[in-house]
Amino acid sequence: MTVEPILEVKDLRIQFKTPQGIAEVVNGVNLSIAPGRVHGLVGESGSGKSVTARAVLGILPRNALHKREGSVRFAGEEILGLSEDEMRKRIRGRRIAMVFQDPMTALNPVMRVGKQIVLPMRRHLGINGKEAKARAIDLLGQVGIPDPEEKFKVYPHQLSGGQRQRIMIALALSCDPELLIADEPTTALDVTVQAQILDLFDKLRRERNLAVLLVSHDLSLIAERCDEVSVMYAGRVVETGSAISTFEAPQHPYTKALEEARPSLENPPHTVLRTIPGRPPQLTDLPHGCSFANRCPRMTELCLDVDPPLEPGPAGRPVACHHPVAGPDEPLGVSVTAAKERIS
Amino acid sequence: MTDTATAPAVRDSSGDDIVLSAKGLVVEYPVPGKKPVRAVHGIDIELRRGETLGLVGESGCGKSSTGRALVMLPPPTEGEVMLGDLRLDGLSQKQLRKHRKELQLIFQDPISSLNPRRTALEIVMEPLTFLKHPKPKERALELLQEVGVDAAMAKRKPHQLSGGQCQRVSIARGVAQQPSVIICDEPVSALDVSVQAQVLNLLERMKDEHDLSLVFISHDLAVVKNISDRVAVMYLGRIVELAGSEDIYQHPRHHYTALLLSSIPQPNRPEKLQDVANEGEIATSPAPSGGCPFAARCPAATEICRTVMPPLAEITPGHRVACHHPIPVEAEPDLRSAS
Amino acid sequence: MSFTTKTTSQRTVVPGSPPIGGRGLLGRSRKGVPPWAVTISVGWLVLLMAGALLLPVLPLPDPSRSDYAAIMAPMFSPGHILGTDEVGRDILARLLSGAQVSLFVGVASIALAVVLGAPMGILAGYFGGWANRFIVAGLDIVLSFPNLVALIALSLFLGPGLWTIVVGIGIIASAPVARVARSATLTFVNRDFVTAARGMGFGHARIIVREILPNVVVPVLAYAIVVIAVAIVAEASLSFLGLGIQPPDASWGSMMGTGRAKLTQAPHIVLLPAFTMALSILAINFLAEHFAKRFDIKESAL
Repeated sequence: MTVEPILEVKDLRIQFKTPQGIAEVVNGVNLSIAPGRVHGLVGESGSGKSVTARAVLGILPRNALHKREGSVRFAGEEILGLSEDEMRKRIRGRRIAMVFQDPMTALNPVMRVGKQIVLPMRRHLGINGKEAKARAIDLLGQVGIPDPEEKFKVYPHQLSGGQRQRIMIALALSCDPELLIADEPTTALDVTVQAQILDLFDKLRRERNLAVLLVSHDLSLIAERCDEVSVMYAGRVVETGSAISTFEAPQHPYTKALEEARPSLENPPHTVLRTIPGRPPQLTDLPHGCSFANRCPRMTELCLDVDPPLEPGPAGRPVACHHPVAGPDEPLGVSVTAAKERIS
Repeated sequence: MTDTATAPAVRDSSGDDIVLSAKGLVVEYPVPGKKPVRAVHGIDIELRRGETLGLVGESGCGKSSTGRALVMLPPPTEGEVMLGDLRLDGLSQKQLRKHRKELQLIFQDPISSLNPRRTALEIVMEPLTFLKHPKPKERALELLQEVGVDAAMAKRKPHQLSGGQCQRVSIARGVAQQPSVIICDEPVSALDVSVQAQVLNLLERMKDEHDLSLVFISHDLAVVKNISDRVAVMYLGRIVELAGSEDIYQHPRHHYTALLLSSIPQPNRPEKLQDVANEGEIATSPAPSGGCPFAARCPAATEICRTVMPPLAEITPGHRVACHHPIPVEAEPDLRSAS
Repeated sequence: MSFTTKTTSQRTVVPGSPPIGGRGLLGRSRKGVPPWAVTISVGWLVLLMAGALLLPVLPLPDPSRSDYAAIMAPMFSPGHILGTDEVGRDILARLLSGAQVSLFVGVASIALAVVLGAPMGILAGYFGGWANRFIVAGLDIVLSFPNLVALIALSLFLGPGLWTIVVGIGIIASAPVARVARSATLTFVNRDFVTAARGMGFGHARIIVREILPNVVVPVLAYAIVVIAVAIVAEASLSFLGLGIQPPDASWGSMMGTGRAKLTQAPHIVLLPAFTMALSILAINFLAEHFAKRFDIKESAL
């Protein structure tokens, strides 16, 4: 990539204080997104993908221990150490915007949607009410809301889920941000509406040269809609690189297992799905070596002792594995524990 | 279980292959001060013995309402439900209760479907003690073992179990009364992909081992394809297409089915597939004129579609579609060409 | 005095509901009552109960006998460690005798309220429809009555006395208890596990007893403990007005009622029962909150 990245996350570490002890929720994550690109962050619940996305904006829950480890550079500026006040005034909503899974919790239920879009514009851009309204109506049209003039006046509950998510996106775009963070933006939506919303993201990033960080649990969605992808497991990026290549030729056993666990339209009915035995490790008590080792069919002594670094693998993309999958046709293999699980 | 004395009448009706069926099923929900909302518009559905019938569609299409009406929880507003030769609608509550054990439900929310104050073991024992099983505890432990919940975990309460484990307990409870049919209402939608695979594999195995017929309700087409023998696609309270699982995914004949399939995220999507028009949103009620509910979004809609409701008609053997202008088989986009 | 307007009245922790917001007295209700407060509360109530039960064998003067040699004796007088009242009766003995009354009224009336109210609430919540409308209307009527006025009327009608108070408070408090039971039932009646129970062919009685009841018990008991405190205040209010426990029997309320004439000369006659009562009510409230937290199931933990 020749373009300067708009966002560069280096060695980000975030810990949560929990009743069970200190949980290593994000454990040395690196990310880099260029303008006009969509970067996918994929993983199962508890993988740290959402926390990573939120950390970029500095919105973490109260039990997060802020150690300011690593770095988050946005447009060349270090924003990890910025004060809450500065983040709010200069960055959040202004230059980095966020879209959440549930628009109903993110929108103010007692405020008309138009006003919710106008307010941040007036505050951040310093334009007058009339101008802001004209821009808001224009934005509503751009995100595909029919009758924007009419919809400007309604309350969130009067809209469908898909329309609310469009409002959220209009709100996010209102101050012309450079980076959009979308955390499971379509998980609560129907599949046809999901396709429409994702098309909208495509259109926006082309028209506005917007960089998008798309967080999702759905590997095929990420592969279809993103340029690059980072697969997360137990607070770590285990594999990263071009989305299509990651999907077609996964190198990390976890990525490959995840793909085979997911029912595919390409397989005939009653295909036995791959299961991943066991559960992700406790984040309060991470194992010494590779976090995936105890569930991995390729595990060896080495995996238990040494945590594999993220280094270029057989397909050239970085992967954190001692025994990466060499190519799309190489089987993942079945471990003893996995075999046991099958029998039981 | 040993109480063969109360063996269901259904299993004797071996001449007929249909284990559960409904005709003219209508489900309405009362709205205070308004006309009731009609969630299901008079559908006919048949579940064959030993098959898995997928019900797929987007939110509000009536798939869950259909599933619940099939087990009379609550009974449909109109229409008849037949369990084998036995007509369920019209039975008194008391008579119906005797046949309830034939029909079980598995739900989406793993937490809500289990009593929070009971241990997994107690939850699975409950239906067994109800049927006066001689050794409810032993049998419950056996069932839990079978679904992969060990004795130590059986002592835990639902909030101490993971979502996948809760669903396993639900499945164990579901098969405890030896039903002939289980309605699975989005049973894996709340689970992570890797756990989802475990539960789907388990359902397939339990279906074979316990001679079950399944109705599998889901919004996820890939999941439905994988588990179902036949698939019914629902839109606004009607079945718009019904065919064999492989058939419907390879040769969708209804435009809505085609739109659904093209909306599934798929890397390497063939270019031609991206052209399926996807505009507008699902209406909350069908067109007042009584036409096809999909007409407003359909790329092939003509005048007749807006005025006349197309019937669900068999256009090739085993493939039924409710469309005036079904997609011709030749022009149909081959979804599998990608692989 | 009212059974419903207290801030504590809606503090029923129904499993599955988010933790109750706002700040408790110690500013940390979200995290529950701190352990030391629980210990002190339990200690105080145990002390009070032990004193009340052991009063006949304790080396104290008869609570209703006057010591004419020591009228309005101050605290720490010889023979009267907490002093005497305006007719020379030992205050410590009377406090413990009052504790007998207060604790009995509290527990007995609330037991009655739970026995009457909980089934009503569960039935209304479970069956809904006609039964629900009928029961809710009845509850609204009881709740709309000014409680103290109703109790005064009852005591004038039946004659003042311990059992009048117990029955009166029991009936009045059954309404809010029923309400809590109903709302707790409503949160569970549409859960899938209840649907599953119906799907297994269980009858209503079995579903109510085996599926609903175990879930309703905790919020109802937590609430009932709070109402014990309210019942103690109600009894004290009536006795203060002379419509409750009749002299020479002692009650915290009547002690304050008769002592208030001498408030300037001997404030301890009023302040000691007031302080005892306040501490007891605080302790009961802490325990109620602790109980609710302790048995709350964190379903969001998944």
